[in-house]
Amino acid sequence: MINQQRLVDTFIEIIKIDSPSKNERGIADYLKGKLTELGLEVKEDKAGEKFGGNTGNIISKLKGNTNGKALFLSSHLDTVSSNQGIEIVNNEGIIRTKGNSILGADDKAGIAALLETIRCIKENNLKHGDLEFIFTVGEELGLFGSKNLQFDELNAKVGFVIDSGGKAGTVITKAPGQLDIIVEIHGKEAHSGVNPEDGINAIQIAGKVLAKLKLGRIDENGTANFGIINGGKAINIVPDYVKLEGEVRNFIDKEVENQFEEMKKKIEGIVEENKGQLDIKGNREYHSFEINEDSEIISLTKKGAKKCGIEVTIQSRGGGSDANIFNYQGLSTVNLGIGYKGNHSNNEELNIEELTKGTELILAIIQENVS
Amino acid sequence: MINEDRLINEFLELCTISSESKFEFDLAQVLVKKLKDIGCSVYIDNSQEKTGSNTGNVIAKLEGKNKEAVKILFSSHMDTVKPGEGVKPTLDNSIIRSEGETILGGDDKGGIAAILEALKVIKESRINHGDIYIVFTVCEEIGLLGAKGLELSKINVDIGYVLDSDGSPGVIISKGPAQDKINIEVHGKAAHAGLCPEEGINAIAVAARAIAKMKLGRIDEETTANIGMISGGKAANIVPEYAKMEGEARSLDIEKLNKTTEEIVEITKKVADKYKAKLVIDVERVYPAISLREDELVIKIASNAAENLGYQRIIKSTGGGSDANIFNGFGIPTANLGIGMNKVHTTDEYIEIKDLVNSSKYLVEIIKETGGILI
Repeated sequence: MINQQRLVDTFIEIIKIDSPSKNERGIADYLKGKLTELGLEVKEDKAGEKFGGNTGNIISKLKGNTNGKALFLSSHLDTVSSNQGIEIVNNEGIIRTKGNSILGADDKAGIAALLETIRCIKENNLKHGDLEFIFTVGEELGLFGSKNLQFDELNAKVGFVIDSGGKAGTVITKAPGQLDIIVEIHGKEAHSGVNPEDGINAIQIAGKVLAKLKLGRIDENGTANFGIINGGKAINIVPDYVKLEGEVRNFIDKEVENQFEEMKKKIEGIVEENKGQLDIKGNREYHSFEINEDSEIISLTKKGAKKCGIEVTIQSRGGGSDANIFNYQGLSTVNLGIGYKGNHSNNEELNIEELTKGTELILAIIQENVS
Repeated sequence: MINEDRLINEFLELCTISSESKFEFDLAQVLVKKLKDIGCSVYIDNSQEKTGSNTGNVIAKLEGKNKEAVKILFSSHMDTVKPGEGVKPTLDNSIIRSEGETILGGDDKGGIAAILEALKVIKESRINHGDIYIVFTVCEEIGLLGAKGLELSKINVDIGYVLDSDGSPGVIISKGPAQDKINIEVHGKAAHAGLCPEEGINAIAVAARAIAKMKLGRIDEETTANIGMISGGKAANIVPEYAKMEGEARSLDIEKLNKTTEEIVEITKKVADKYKAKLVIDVERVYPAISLREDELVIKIASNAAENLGYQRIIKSTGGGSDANIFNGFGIPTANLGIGMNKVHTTDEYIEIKDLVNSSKYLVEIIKETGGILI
């Protein structure tokens, strides 16, 4: 039922509509047009205003024509960076770029899959329950669109985010919670040649801090990282300021705060020992989720996979997605693989076969969802 | 003999001519004319290419009748730090400072004014002297670039005095450290911090952990070391593949400087090896040391001159660098003299009028001392 050519053509059309985070207007207008043509109810919310974007989330409803639990399906409109001037290479079943930009399969493969799903439903007059299609903005900046959804306007309590790399049949059922960290260490300036003994070197204190912290993979559940550092004015001044930006993640949600508190204690001790001053902030960005294998959503997914002959691979993933936000709001959500690889880099590529199978799976899930 | 009003007015005039580093042209042109009016032959050297300034250094010579006398160099730098545009110098009781939000430029126009007045005085008083060379350099504040690029063949001197130190006239800097600039880039491996951090090599952690191990600050009474800047990484959720640290080491003793710099580099190499990161290391000897003995001619002359005038004579070492380091490196024994600069590199900069006057008097006395000494 899936029209592979139309699916691929749609994907290629939409990756050319540049939509870096905060600038999703072009793709949003395109999508609103297509959804309206297909007879869906289309609304745009004001989420963009909350984080300086020019677009809101698009929520589109297709009323069911038979009984069945309401389902939602979601992809994000924004790409991690601009891909203006993209040069597409399509051969041997793989779509990629010439290497001068990202592809945008994260997450326009998902958008293309959902559009094709709706077209198939309409063309073949398939039976389905109430369906809510949610296209979010600002995901790559920190799940900003989904964080600002009006959840009381959604009916479905179960749904799928179409935003994972990997083969069709990949089902992400577990993801960590995350907390952003900003550390500012203050020392004391002094001329480094004349009287360095009067100074307190904030950069060296930061060094002693990082020497004592465990970074990278902490254990099978947790990770920690400092990803940005900046400090000092000139080589001949003992630096009085340095800033570090990092994060912690843990599959066990409350361990996120525990990890942070432990880090904070260590940092406080070292800064004090070295006579510096510390400002440290932890901002919880999203919470973990874990869907049990014997839950309804998994058995529904497996039914759909069986129907189209796809093998299900249940996985955890260390990254966050809109699925974290939906689950936190009490909506049982998993993230499905849609065939992209190397996202967030100029090596990003999309496997057409996996894109097609992934779309078939979505359609099969919707069909299996009727009572 | 010193014409105080003439000196003060000239100093005020020089302060109003903007001359931030690399933009010394206007001031240089004015100084060329003033030096010619005094009777010097003047030359602008070819250092522009090397410094990036819009002018070369100004090199002037006042011929001396006494061809056997000590040949002497006086030098100050033309450039100022920022913010140096539109300086409004103002007399405020016994000091000169700036109105508004700029530096004054006493560093180093106080030296320039003192030199010009001293030359006028020796001409007017017909004091016997040997050849006097005057060098006004560019781009001192951004790395002693003018002095480093000086067309040396245009000067021929036995000793030199740079007028570019704080401390009242009588302060004689006879020792100053050599300096190494140290730049180290750490190259690691990027990885998604949540998905697969173990595949990454954290360049920031490597740099920071190396810095934690270094001996920094005051190493001993002659030696200092500093890491002054650090930057690196792209995002909080990416294991950073790049970090850069910039620092320096200084010592009055070259051997100690070599050792200090080497240790910093070795420590970083060890940490990088441990974590399999790669390094790009750039060490540059920025300037040589000043190491003048008290019984050397350049110090003896300055010392005697100070004593003659009843100044408090303080022969000392400094922790900073100046054009004097470069001249010493060229083989010209050069001391740096205090001219009473205060709060330099800030908008509170000021100079005491009596220090400005005494600086010029001091130069006249130094010239008198050299006039009598035959080489």
